[in-house]
Amino acid sequence: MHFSKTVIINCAGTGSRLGLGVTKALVKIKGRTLIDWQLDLLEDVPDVRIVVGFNADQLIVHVRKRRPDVLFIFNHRYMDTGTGYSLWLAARHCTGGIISLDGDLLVDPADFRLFFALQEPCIGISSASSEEPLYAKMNGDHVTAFSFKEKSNFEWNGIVKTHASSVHEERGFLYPIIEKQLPLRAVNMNTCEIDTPKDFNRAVDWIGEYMDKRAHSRLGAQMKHPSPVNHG
Amino acid sequence: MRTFLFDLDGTITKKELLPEIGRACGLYKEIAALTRETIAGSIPFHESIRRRVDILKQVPISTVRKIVNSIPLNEPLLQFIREHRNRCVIITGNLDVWVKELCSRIVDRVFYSEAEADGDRLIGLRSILNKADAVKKIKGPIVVVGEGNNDVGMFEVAEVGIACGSLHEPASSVMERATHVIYNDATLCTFLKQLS
Repeated sequence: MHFSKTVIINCAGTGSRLGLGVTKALVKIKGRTLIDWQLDLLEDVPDVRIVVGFNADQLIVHVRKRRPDVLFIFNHRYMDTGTGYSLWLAARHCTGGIISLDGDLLVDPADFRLFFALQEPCIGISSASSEEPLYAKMNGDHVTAFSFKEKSNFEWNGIVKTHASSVHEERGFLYPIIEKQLPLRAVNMNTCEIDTPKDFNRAVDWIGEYMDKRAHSRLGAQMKHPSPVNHG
Repeated sequence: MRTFLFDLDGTITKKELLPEIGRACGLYKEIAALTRETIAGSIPFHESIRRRVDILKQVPISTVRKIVNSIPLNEPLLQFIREHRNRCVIITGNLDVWVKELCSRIVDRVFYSEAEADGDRLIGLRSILNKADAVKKIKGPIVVVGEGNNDVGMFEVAEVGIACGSLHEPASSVMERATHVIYNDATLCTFLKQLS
């Protein structure tokens, strides 16, 4: 059985630190919502589940236009619970392997594809750059511990691949659930998390760079394999 | 072991039954308007069914039954029910005399509203099903699949409450109590299989 058959996106929160008045999944970056950028990653994933809470109606309408096959899970207690609770709500009725992705994260598609293809539990790390990083303590290619105080070159980016049955009930953050499963194989990924207005500005730049990179690689491919030209 | 409870109209059937009966009998506009308001919860179900039955009294029971039996069904969902028949129950506010034949083909256990009939003629209502009461008769954890405001009582006690949006938007009262909402038949069936 393929380990990574289900991807869960946690989008229930209010995004209060960003202060835009909509759930972060609906925040637009370079003209497209965050959830659109994420759904780009998941075009070939048949089982996508999204945990919704704040602005659930708007988010559901938006997602359905593009992916009517998504299964939505309600976190009705989004005001007094965290991502850990959202993931537990989603995972408790899943079987096998799941990938959990926070709804406030931009991910390089190539890195996500590599992560998705791995057939074992693993965790996504990125160069520590967010405003409030959860540092990942490394031993070789494994994350062995998390810390908010003890600095490291890497932070956990919120992506994890695990067994649905390993997700226990947790009301608050997600990291206490994952901490119990360490050590986990680390996968270094190019990501950008959006928690604060400063993060938002960084995300605009990040997407700009990513779009430039994509345009360059498309141009490179065209130069290697030029389109037929009509010389007639 | 979980029991699976299904609403009939708009969940197992791919069309709402009463408007279709109304359409076949030239009473579509009145019935459809009442049905819309009932799903949304702006008319209480007991009042709505009473009014709809009053309108449809003039139609012979056998005619209604024939229309009901011709309504398209949610085939992927039926496949799941066939494979788990002993754990599936239909709970419908519709009248036994109209939908019994259809429901008996699908499951072994059904809860209906009960009609008073004289031969092929509908006289009135004997009892209106309260889904919240009916669900108390089911032992163990339950999974509910429905969409109308009269399904709310079932969602309140369900371990898993799936708002089904494949035919129309689930009532907002259902969305407030549902654990999940699904708009795609294949996704619904995959999820039900995981829960079984």
